[in-house]
Amino acid sequence: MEQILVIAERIVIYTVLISALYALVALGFTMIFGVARVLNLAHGAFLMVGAYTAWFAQQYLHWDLYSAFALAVVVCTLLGVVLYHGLVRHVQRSPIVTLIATLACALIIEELIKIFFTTNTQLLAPFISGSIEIDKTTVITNRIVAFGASWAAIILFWLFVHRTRWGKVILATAQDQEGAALVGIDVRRVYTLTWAISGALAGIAGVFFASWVKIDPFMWRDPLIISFAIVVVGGLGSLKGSIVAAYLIGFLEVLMTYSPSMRICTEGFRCFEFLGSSWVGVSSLLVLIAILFIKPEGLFGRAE
Amino acid sequence: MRISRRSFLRVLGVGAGALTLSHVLGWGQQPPVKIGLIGPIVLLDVGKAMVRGAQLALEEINKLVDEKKLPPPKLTMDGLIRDDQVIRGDVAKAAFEELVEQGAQVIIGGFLDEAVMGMIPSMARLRKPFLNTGSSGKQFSELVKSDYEKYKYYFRLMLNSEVLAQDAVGMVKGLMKEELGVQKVALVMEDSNFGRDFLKILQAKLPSEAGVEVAKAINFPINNPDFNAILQQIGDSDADAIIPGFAFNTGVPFVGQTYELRVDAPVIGIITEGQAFEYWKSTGGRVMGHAYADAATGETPLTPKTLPFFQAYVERYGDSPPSRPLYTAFTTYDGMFVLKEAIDRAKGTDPDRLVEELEKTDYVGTVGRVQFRGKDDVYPHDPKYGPEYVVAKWVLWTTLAKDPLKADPQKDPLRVVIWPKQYRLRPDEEGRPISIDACISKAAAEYRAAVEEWKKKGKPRGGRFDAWQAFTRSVAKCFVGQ
Repeated sequence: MEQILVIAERIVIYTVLISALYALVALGFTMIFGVARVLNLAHGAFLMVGAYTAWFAQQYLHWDLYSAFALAVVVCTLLGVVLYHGLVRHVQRSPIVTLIATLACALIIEELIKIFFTTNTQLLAPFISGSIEIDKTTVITNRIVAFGASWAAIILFWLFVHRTRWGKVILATAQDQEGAALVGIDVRRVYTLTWAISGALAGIAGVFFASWVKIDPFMWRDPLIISFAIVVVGGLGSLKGSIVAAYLIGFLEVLMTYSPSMRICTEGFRCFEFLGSSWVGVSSLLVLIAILFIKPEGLFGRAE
Repeated sequence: MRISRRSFLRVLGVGAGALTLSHVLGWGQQPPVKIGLIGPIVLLDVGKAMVRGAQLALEEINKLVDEKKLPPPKLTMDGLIRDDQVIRGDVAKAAFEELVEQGAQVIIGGFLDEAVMGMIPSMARLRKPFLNTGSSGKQFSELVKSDYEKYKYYFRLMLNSEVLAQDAVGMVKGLMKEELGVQKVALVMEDSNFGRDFLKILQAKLPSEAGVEVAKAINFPINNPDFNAILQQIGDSDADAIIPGFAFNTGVPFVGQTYELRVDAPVIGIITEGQAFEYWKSTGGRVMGHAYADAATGETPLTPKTLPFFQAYVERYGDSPPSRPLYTAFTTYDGMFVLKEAIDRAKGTDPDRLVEELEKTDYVGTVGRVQFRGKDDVYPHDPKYGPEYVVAKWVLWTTLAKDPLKADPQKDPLRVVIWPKQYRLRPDEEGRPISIDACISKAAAEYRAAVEEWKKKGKPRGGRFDAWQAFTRSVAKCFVGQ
């Protein structure tokens, strides 16, 4: 019984920690869709640019991680604005073209990183080194920092949207773009601001994601898949939905790490494993498919 | 018949002129043998190292031919190097066929099994010898066994995964159990062909052949590099050590997280990317204390050819990654010499003659003595395995720097062979090997004593981690002769 309680405690702690990061990763993605109705497939690449900027500033400019982090946020903010004005603004009317254009952008960024940096996997130094004990669970200290920073960013973002004039302008544009334009809101400026904030959030997430796991030119794919799954499960454009979905997916991933696997062998063919740690990545996609069947608009999405 | 003096001089003049011109234009000389190379040369350092190893061998061989220390022909790889895009069997197959069209008489290289498998049917159909210097899948030598006439053109300088796993079992018994006192291990394997095979073999053989219990076996997905929960489970299992098996690039987060968590279990296993000298920088020094299987380290004089090759490599490529030779550089370098010897003995490049001569190979290279297994062996055309031939070397990452996280990644890291005992060597000032076996054995005994003390104190967190770090530092001192 005691062992079950210990495992339950660990599942809860790891879920709470990783889900906060997942929520932060998905936040910028859901915001762009909620306001501008654009599925930005370059979102993962934004995170990667943030991670590489911080790594470059640390390794080559010998900056401390805090300054490197600030630079990453600035670079990603600018990247968001540049991508909007340089590309998305011109193709936004066609969702398919936007989808392909942003994906192409991500692939270009991947190739540029391969050209200018190494393809080898790198580690971003943690903000705080070491690990701590929470009751019977050992946790890497940097993850507590990432958890705190993720929630700080989420709360600040929520306060900005709901408590400031510009936030209300963004909400109004998200609800009805034409109506917002009719009452004198400069929609293009709102979009610019939205892309800038999305970029900044991706920059923050990128640095923490990198210090949580790794940096390499392919690291944009996982955050994009996670963001996509979270946003679809939570309901496209719903902040609350994204947070709930992040916790659901985080929980399933941690649960898979602890669940025993079932091995099924077919005669004359190889064996297959069901559940267990090799199913960590599959769980979120299974939830995504299930939600698409049961509640296509997502947990907190509005039906069309 | 009388020849006039004028005619005689004319013939002599034309003859001398033709002889001079033939030397300049290469008339009468044997054309160089075209060797093609296929590997992940764009994306992965193992591919770049492969090209560099081949290039150094090529230049050395051609110089020896010029100096008449080796018979002609020379070798060439001009325009014959192709990328296989890491995992693309179709790309590797197209590259193989295109190189043969370009006149390549032998192909060398290969890294991931998936890409090598793409080349094998073309190799059999086109009857061109292929020397695999990078992939470890045993299915290729099994093909030679199953249909010798069809697949006899396949040879390999790498140990296959089964033999590598067997070597790992021997290492667990000799180093981990007998010297370090390990009773239980945790296996952390990636969910790939390599990881699954390695896991299966170790789970079956460690208890029976090494007398070591498998306390925990984990198969993790390649795209999920979060190890916190996995490492916590390993801690709960009370394992004395961790054996990883990673061929893809998932090692960096694993290394980072074992260091941050101060996991109380030394890590000794296979992490392919961890063989690169740049790995110290990539992990910020957190790889301190990890030991991985490798073909050679360069710093350790395994044979009289290891250090000269290592030095030549560093002198030429020391400024660009991979700045030290990876295993594919050693095997491909050796492979070029093996090919040259076989071509000379076969007096040409007729594929069947070349196969016959490759089978007679007996060459001491940078990684050991190379002889290929016979066609009746269980793994035909793989290198013979054993202390007198080729074995895996288990190499420890260490440094003399006080804080590994602050060590200079260019100057401070050391890579020292800790198993097998015969390769516990350091070079003296002239590069001659000196055994450091006694010194490492003493450090291992101190580690065991420290672990016993740690157990008596109730296993406080990080205690065994610190003991292992102390062992690692002692090995560094053994290596520099302190």
